[in-house]
This record gives sequence, structure tokens and C-alpha cells, in this order.
Amino acid sequence: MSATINQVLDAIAECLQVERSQISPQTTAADVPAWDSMAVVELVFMLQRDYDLTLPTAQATTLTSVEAVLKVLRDAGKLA
Amino acid sequence: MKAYLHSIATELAERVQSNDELVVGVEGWTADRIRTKTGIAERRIAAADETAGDLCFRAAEKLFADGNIDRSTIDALIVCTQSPDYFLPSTACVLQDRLQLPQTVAAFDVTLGCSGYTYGLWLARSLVLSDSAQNVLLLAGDTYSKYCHPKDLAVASLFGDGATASLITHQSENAWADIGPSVLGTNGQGAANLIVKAGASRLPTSETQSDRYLYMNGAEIASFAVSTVKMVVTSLLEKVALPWSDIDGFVFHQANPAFVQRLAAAYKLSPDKVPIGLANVGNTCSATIPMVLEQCARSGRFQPGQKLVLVGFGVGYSWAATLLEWKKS
Repeated sequence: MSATINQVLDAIAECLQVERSQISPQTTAADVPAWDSMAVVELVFMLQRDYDLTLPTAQATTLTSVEAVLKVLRDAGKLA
Repeated sequence: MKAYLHSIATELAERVQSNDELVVGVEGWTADRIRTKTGIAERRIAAADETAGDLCFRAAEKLFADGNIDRSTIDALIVCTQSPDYFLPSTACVLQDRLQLPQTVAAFDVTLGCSGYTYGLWLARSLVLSDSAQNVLLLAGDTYSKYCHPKDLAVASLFGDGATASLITHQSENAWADIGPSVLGTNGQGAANLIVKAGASRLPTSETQSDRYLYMNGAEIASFAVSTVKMVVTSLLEKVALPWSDIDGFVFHQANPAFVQRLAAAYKLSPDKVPIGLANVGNTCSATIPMVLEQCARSGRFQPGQKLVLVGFGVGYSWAATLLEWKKS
């Protein structure tokens, strides 16, 4: 399944349990207090559940910005 | 010849620690947050003078008291723990004496964590099938709470202390399950993501707090789990020529209830095929799988003939999946 950027932003907001308006393509973990290590775990599960995507070793820790999540999807050819 | 999981007995540390108690004096954490993020309501905590060996001892005595086996017929004792009584001797040797097992018993420790139980089943089955042993006592227990810094709730909220005793035998009578093949694996590149660095030979002492207590990189552990569990289940099912849809139950290592729930959702498994437990116990490492199996056996969750896949995964990284065919009605 391929995702649009908006769909990914929706999914990130859901993982972080924040308002969608708080998430833009430029958002980083530093902008959102809820983007902690537990939120990164949620992102990891979301990538498998929604996009059948697993991450190489040491990549999960880099999921600290919207751009990082988009890049993972883009590199896997899952971003429309 | 076949090897059977005859029965399991569970023993928990007595003290119950609530989320409310845990968050006192820790900024940024609430009891609700722990409950929501982990699914854990409370956990069992071993007393200062209580070891995993003590918990294993009591679990084994329960198994014997239930009349499941005459202890004089045990010919192999495997203790799976990462919380040994001593650096040496092995906890298994100490327990051979405490449990009054015959001196002819082969007793040894397996120092694995979350994968330990499925490794133990693989090993015990191998001993039985090779006629090296007839009745194997597999003890799995840990006291990880002793490794957690009390203010580091990223780990202290997760772990609880307990042990189980399982009998693996060549006799099918009254057995809970027929133990099938296993698939195992290891990736030491993940060693640093769940580790207690100080206290052993590499780093005997350290002034750094994070060295002296359990460190966990939760994101990397989750990422490892999501990819590895799917891989090892697929590999096991290929080995036994069964499709995922033929499996009636997936008993995963209970890292925490929320984690197991997310794992099941990620693989699109029906919730009724994935037992989730230990919300009032915490993650007991090598003992989570047998604890959930024991709960399922007591509640009659599984029916004779149903096929189960057990998957242990975690610290190491280390993993193992084992097929069971349930027999207990």
C-alpha cells in the first residue's frame, strides 16, 4: 500500500496522540513533547501494521522527525 | 519417540507494586500513562533477600506437590535465568540440592532472557528425543526488578519478578501438549540495546548510573521484535509445512500487554488467537510464556488438537519459536 503525505501525517498524529494540526512535514520530536521513546515504538508498529514495513537495525532510533518517517516510506517505495 | 510438556507451575514474588506507588517522585510520569502505554496495572517485586533461585525453588515444589512427578525420577534440570544466585556455581547446582533431586541429575543454567523458555523447550525436547533424559525439569525465572533503577520508569514500569517450573517428559499420559520442532536464532549486534553493563568481567564496576542498571533502547527492541517475530514464525511454519491460518494460538513473550496487542495488530492476527496476560505481574522475562500457558491451561482456553506457536524474543538479541500441539481438555 502506498500512502500520501497527508495519510502519513494523520498516522503520526495518531501514534503521538496529538492534534493533527500539530504535525507538519517539518515537525520534529523537539516540537512535540509527546514524541518520546514510547511514541517511537508506536511509529515502529504503525509502519509494520499499515505499510508492512520493517526497519533495519539502528534505524528505529532515527524516527525523531516527520521527515525521517517519510524518508523510510519513500526509500521503501511506499510513498505516493 | 515424542517429548511432552506435562504441566507447569507458577510462582510470583509476593510484594505487589502499583503504578501509583511507582510514580511517586518521578517527574513526567503518571499511573494512567503507564497503564495506557504498557497495559500493566501492577507488578510483582522480589524482596531484597529473595532471588530467582528462590522463586524457581518454590515453583518446582508446587509442581511436585501437585503430584505430577516423583522428584527422584528427574534426570535433567535446566534453570533458565539471567538473575543467578551467584556468579558461580550455577543456580541449577544449588537447586539440585535444595530440591533434593538425585545426584545423577544433569543440572545446568541457560543464561537467556526473553527467549529462554522456548530455548529450554527445544533443549529439553532434544534431550528426551535423543534418549539422554526422560524427565526434564525446566525452571524459568528472573528478578529483573533488581536491575532497574527505581526512577527509570521506562524499564521499572515493565518488569516483574516470578518463576515457573515445567515438566518435559517422554510420557504422554496427562500431558498438556506435544512439543514439536523449533526454529532458533541470534543477532549479537543488538546486545547493547538491552543490557546491564557493569558488574561482570568486562566492566566490574562503574560510576555511571546507566551502566549499573538495566538500559533498554525501546525503539530498537520494538523494531527488532516486529521484524524478527514474523520472520521466525514464518520460518517455523515453513519447516512444519503449515500455513499461518492453521495456527490456533500464538503465545508471544509478554513484553507487556500493550506490546503484545500491537504485535498482533501489526500482523493482523485475530485477538482471540493471541493470549495476553501478566497485566498484574509485569514482564518476568524467561517466565512470561509458561505463565501465560499455565493461565490458558487453567481457563481451558485451548482444546485438544489445537496447534500453538510459542515465540520468545528479546535480550541478546535472541529468539526461538516452538510448535505445540495441545492435548489437555
